Amino acid sequence: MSSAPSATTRLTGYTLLAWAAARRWRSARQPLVHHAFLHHAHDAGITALPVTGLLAALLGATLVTQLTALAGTDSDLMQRLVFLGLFFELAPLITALIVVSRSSAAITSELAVMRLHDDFTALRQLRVPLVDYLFLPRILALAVVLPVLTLIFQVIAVGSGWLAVALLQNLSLNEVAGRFLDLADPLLMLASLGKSALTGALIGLIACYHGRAAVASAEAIAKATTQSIGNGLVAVFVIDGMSALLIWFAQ
Amino acid sequence: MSDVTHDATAPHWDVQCEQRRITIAEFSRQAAPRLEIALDHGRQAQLVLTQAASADALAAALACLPQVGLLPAEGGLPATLPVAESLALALTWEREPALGSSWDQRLELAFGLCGFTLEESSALSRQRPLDLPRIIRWRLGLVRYLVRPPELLVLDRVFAGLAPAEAGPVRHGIAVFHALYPFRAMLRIDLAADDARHAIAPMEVA
Repeated sequence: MSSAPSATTRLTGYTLLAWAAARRWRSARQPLVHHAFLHHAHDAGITALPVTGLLAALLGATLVTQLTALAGTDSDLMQRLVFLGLFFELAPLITALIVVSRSSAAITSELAVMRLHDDFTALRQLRVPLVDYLFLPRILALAVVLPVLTLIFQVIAVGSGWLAVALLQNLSLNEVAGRFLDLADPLLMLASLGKSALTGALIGLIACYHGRAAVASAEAIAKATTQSIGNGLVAVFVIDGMSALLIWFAQ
Repeated sequence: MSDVTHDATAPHWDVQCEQRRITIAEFSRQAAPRLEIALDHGRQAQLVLTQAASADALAAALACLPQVGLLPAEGGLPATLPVAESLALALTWEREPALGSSWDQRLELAFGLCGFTLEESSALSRQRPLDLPRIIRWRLGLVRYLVRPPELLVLDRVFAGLAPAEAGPVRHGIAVFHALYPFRAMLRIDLAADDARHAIAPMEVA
């Protein structure tokens, strides 16, 4: 049984793959690559909408109700907690976790199966670069899809929270929403989407690396998928922590 | 067919293309070139090897030349991608758009020449080669070369593991290619064991 690559090997692999994909970004304009990008964006994004919407509605209602019970409706603190906690922090994080659990596993196992069946050699013999056709569309798809899913999560979560507060506290929706919008910071909204884009690209990169590096055996597919999800989760939290520090020092 | 040669051990090959001639020689020896194939003359050659590793090395070396199209026993298309996607990659990736709007018609014709009906080709387009029998995979690989013929078509052990009765579609495909492109060169790479079962026969043209 082959041992897992060391952390240094993995980091080097991620960096090299990122560099190779960045150098070939112009290939994204090719019709076949564009078609592959749309296909992967559909798989990673459109099909994740139901679970994203459901989790957003449940989390938003629960969290905002709890915060209201703690801090009261007429409280700037509560509104800022909703904005920073739910909107800026939890929404990108939970959306990233959804994408890691669904798309990361799918990408890694798909690429590992292709390696098992020697499709990489077949594509090279067709003179199709693997970076252009296999890796770049997947990385770009996640980089585009994750901010969109994050935005949808934010809107549904906050909306369901407002609805919950309005119903429980017998307040008008306009009153609840108005206080939130007064305190919302557009720059932090954009920062949350930028964080999601970077996280999406990194998740795609890690998934592609482990799928590509898997040994051509059935056992290696499961191992590669596990490593991809594990490292993807670590990456999500590392970026989350770094962005929190960045915001802290910027303020 | 001509130029049947045998080798004992030759794991390394030197393959060159100069002045419209492809030269295949044993890498380690200084002897005269093993095989020379002139492009555009419609020559059909065969190289019979005793070792599978030697054949693998030769096929890999030949596949690096842009003039060569390699057609292995499994057809050469990616096994896990749908047939339509694989053919689109093979025929249109970074190519001159010289096929234009007629490439659909040429593709349809190529499917017909390989023995597929319109309904069969539509159904096959959505399937993956992984789920298809070997002969059908090979015929799909040939479809690609009927639309865009290479200057030298290399048939890599296409008869390996086939009973003589099963080889009919393969022989037919080879005859169709030669009939359509009589000036395109062809090289068969066979293993000695398979060559004994599929003795060289005159090409049959449909």
